[in-house]
Amino acid sequence: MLAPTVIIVMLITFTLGYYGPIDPVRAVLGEEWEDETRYAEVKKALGLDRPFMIQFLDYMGTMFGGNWGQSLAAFGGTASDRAVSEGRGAGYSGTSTSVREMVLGRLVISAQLSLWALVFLTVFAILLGVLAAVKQNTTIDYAIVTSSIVASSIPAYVIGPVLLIIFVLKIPVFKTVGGWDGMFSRQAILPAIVLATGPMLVIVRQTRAGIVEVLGKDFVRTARAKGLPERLVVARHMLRTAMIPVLTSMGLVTSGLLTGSLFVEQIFNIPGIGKLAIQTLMSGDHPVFMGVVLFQALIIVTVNLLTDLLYGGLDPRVTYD
Amino acid sequence: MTEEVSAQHELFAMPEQRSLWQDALEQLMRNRLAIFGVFVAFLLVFVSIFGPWLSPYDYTQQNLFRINEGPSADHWLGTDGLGRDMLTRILHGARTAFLVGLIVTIGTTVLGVVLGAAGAFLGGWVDALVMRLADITMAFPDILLAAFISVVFREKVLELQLQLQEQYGWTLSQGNRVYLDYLVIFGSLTLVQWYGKARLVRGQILSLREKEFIEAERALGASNWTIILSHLVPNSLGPLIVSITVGFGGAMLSEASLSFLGVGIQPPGASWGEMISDNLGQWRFNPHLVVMPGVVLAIVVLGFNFLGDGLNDALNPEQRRR
Repeated sequence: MLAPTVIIVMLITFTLGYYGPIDPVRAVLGEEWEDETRYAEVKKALGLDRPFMIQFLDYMGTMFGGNWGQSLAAFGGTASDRAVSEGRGAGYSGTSTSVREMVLGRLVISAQLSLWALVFLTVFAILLGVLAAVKQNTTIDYAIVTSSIVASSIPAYVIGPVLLIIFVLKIPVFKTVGGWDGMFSRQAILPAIVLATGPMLVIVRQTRAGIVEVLGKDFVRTARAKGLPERLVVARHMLRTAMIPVLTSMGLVTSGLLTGSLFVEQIFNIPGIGKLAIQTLMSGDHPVFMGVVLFQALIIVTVNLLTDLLYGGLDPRVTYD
Repeated sequence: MTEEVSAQHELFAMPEQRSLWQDALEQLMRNRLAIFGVFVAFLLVFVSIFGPWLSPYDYTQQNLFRINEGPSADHWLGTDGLGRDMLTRILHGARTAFLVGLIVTIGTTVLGVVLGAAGAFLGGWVDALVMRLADITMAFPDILLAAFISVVFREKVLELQLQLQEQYGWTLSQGNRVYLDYLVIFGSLTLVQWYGKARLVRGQILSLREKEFIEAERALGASNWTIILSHLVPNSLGPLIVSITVGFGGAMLSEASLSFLGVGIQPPGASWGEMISDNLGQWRFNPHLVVMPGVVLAIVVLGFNFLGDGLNDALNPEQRRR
C-alpha cells in the first residue's frame, strides 16, 4: 500500500527532473559548458550518460539505501557558488552537500516553526471552539466562526506582510524580523502565528461540533446535577469526549504545517525545508528538490495511514480489511 | 377515491410544492455572507471582461518619473516600482485570476466527473486505477508538484512554440509571452487538483446506488439511463456545485501562490500573487504596494469561500451544520 505509492511518486519526480528545463551539467559548469570535453566529463561524473531506466533504478537504490544522493553543489563549479551565495547546506550555515543532511538540517527549523504553530493552535483554536459551542448561535459564536473562516481563507503571503506592517511599522513590537535565530527568539513568534492561521478553521469547527454534540448528553447532565461548576463540566467531561476527532485531525494538521510552511518561510526568510525547495527548484539543483518533494510525500502518506489507523483504534466501529 | 384524497388535501392544507432549487435559492438569499460572495463573483466577472476599458493606462505601461507613488487623482491606487498604475494592474490581475479559475475549474470538473463516474460504473481495474492515481496525486505536496510541473513544461511549451514558428511561421506571442504562463498554469493546476472531484463523484454514485429509492426504481423496471439521468445526476449535482465553487476560489488562490513563488505568471504579466512578491522587497517603505493586491486577493478568495459555504447549506440540507 505504502511502498508502491512511494515508488510511483519517485518515478514521477524523477521523470520531471530528467526532462527538467535546467541541464544539470550546465548548472554545474556555468559559462564553461560549451567546452565539449569538460561537458562530457561532468556528464559522466553525474552519471547522466546512462539510459533513463538505469538512472532511475540507480536513483531508487540510493534513496532506499538511506543515502539520498548529492547536491549538484558537490560537483563544484557554478552550482556550488550559487549554493554558497544562497546560504544553502545542512542546518543554517552548514556546507554539507549530502541531500539527506541538507533536507534533515532544514527540517529541524521547519519542525520548530510548526511546533510553535501547533502550540498556538491548541491554545487558541480549541479555546475559541469551546467558547463558540458554549455560546452556540449567539453573536459570539458567529463572530468566532466567521473570523476563523477569514483567518484560514487568506493565504499566508497576505497575512504575513499585513502583520509585518502592523507590528513592525505601526506598533513597533518587533524590531528585527526575518531570518531564524533559534526556536526561542522573538523572530519565531510572527511566522508561527501566520503559519497557525491556516489550519485554524478546521480545529475551531471540529472542537465546536464535538462540544455541541455532547451538550445535551446524559453524562453532562449528571455532571451538572452533582454540582460541578460549569467550567469543570466543560473541561473534564465535554472536552475529553469532543477531543477525539480533533486529536485525529492533528496529524493531518501537522503534515499540512510541515509541507505548507514554504510561504511563511519565503516571507520571513526562514531557511526551512520549503525555502530549500523553492531555492533548489529555481537554481536547477534537482537532486535536492526531488529529495524535498519525496520526503514531504513520505510525510503525507505516513500521516494519512497513521490517521486512518488511529481513527480505527479510537472508534471500534471503523474496520479495515 | 380521488375525492377522498383531495378532501384530505384541503384538510391538511398542504403547502404549495417547491423544488429543491427554489428552496436552495431562498436559503441562499437569506445568507448575507453568501450574498457577499455572489456580489464578489459578479464583480470579478465584470472587471475581468471590461477591466482594460475601465482605466486609461495599459498594465505594462511604465512611467519612470512617477515610481512608488501613493494614491493620487491620476493614479487612484498609486504606482509601483516601475511606475505602472497599480489599479490597472489589479484590474488586469482580476482577468488572470478569473481565466485561471474558469479554465482550471472546467478542466478539473471534466476530468473528475469522467474519471470518477468511470471508476464507479465500470468498477474492477478501472476503479482501482483511478483511485490509485488519486492516491498518488494526493501524496504529493500539491504546490510543489504544480511548481515542478509548470517549471518543466514552460520550457517544453516554449520550445514547441519556437518550432511552430520556424516551420510554419506562426507567431502566437508577438513579444509578450504571458499566454505561455497561462497555458502552463492551466495544465499544471488541472493535473494537481482533479482528484477531489473524482473522489466526490465516485463516492456520490456508489452511495446513491445502494439507496432504497434507486432499488425501488430498479424493481419497477427502469433502465440504467433513466436511473442515471433522473436520479443519480440531480442528486449528486448539489455537492458537485459546491465543490466547483470552492474549487474556483482554490484555483485562483493556487495561481496566486505559484505566481508569488515566481513559477506562475511572469512579469510583465499581471497577477495578484506576482504583484505581492514583486513589491514585498519594499514593504517597509511602500507598504501600500504589498497590501493592495493582497487585500483584493483576500476579498475574492473569501467571497468564493462564503459562497461555497452558503451553497453547501442551501443545496445539501442533510449535512447542514447545527
